[in-house]
Amino acid sequence: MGSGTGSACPSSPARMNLYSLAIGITGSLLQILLLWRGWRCGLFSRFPLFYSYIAYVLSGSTLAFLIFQIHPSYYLGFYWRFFLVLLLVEFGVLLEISDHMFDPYPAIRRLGRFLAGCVCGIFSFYIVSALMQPRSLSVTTLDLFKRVSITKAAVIIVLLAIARYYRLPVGKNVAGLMVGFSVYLGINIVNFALAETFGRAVYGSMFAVVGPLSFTVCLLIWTIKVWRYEPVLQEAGRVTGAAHKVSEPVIYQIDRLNQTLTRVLRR
Amino acid sequence: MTAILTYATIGILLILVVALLLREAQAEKRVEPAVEQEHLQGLPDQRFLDLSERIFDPADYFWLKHDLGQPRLARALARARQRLAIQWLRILKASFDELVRAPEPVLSESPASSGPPSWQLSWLILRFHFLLGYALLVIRLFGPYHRLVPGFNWRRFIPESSSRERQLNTVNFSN
Repeated sequence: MGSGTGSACPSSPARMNLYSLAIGITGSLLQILLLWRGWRCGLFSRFPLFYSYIAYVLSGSTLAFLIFQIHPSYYLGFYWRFFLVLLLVEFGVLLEISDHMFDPYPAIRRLGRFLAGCVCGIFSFYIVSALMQPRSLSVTTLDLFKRVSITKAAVIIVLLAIARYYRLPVGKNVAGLMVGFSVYLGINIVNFALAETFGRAVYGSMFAVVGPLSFTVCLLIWTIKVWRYEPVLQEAGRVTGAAHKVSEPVIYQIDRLNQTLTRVLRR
Repeated sequence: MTAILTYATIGILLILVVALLLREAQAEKRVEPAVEQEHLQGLPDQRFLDLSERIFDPADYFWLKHDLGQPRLARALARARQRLAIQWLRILKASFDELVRAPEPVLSESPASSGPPSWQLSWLILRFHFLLGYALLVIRLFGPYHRLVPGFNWRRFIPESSSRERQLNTVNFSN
């Protein structure tokens, strides 16, 4: 990922390219390991979007590497298109994380989706405003990626805040996915901000290393934490809470408590 | 440079906050705080829900203040009722939260798709939290007998029958 931008470094391009290559190979190996492990343990059906995302990254980066070797002039165009789709797919992975996080709790599962959607809706103004400022294409693109990363970070924080508010235990798989994503997003936010400020001439070589390195660290965390499926139910238990004691659907009970509160307010 | 520092702070804070929240969430053993222990035996029954009629009814307050001429006693009663009202709302919230985080039964009879629309349930949850927060704020600031929803009495052109009725609508015991 991004080995093409590494050539902008005037000091030690050979060493930087070596780093980029090493990071690229490590990342690809981790992706293959994740996919192999997911296939062996039957995790594809449990995390379909996540494994589609990994497969997309693996095939996209392999294709980008081949294009860089065969037709270097097409590389940048292909890479940015690939990266733009990747940014959108990551939102899908976040929704999947939300669903898994609150899987045993139907009401909170819907609330999680709803609030994640609200955060994306609110931040869409922040994202779109990056496109409306008169700047160079590269600065606009970097600013856009930075804002998208901040939006995803906000979604993660909101999901964790919901879990914390309702004091829900978070499973090992989901916790790993979130930690990996946060490390990747946190480093990328700073990386995009630095690249936007200093430009390709000064920061290009570092940018090409830091971005893929953050993703490799993220992949390493994911590989360890999603090695085997560990549902949150094992920790939470199914017979806690009040739902098993009542036969009335949850929405009617929630509505009844809402009416009681409204009656108090309107007295 | 300020922008870089800001984004560096955002990046570091993100990782720290996620790590902290996840650590707390993973250590969560569903230990309930004291206020919830009182009412986690199930959903609030009708008697509990009807209790609000007594707690928020200012009749006793006015009886003490006007009929018996004991304003200090009336204020003491109002303060006690304020504590009761806050406790009642907290218990209602605890029951509501317990209901919302109730796990789905293992062998659910109805498929997930047959449930209500996602937005409807989410809206009810958010609405409840908003109303509850508002009610707690008003009760803490003005007491249990203050009208929680503005009555728009100024829009009425016909005067009400008695001053007592008017008082029942908007009373601030702290005055």
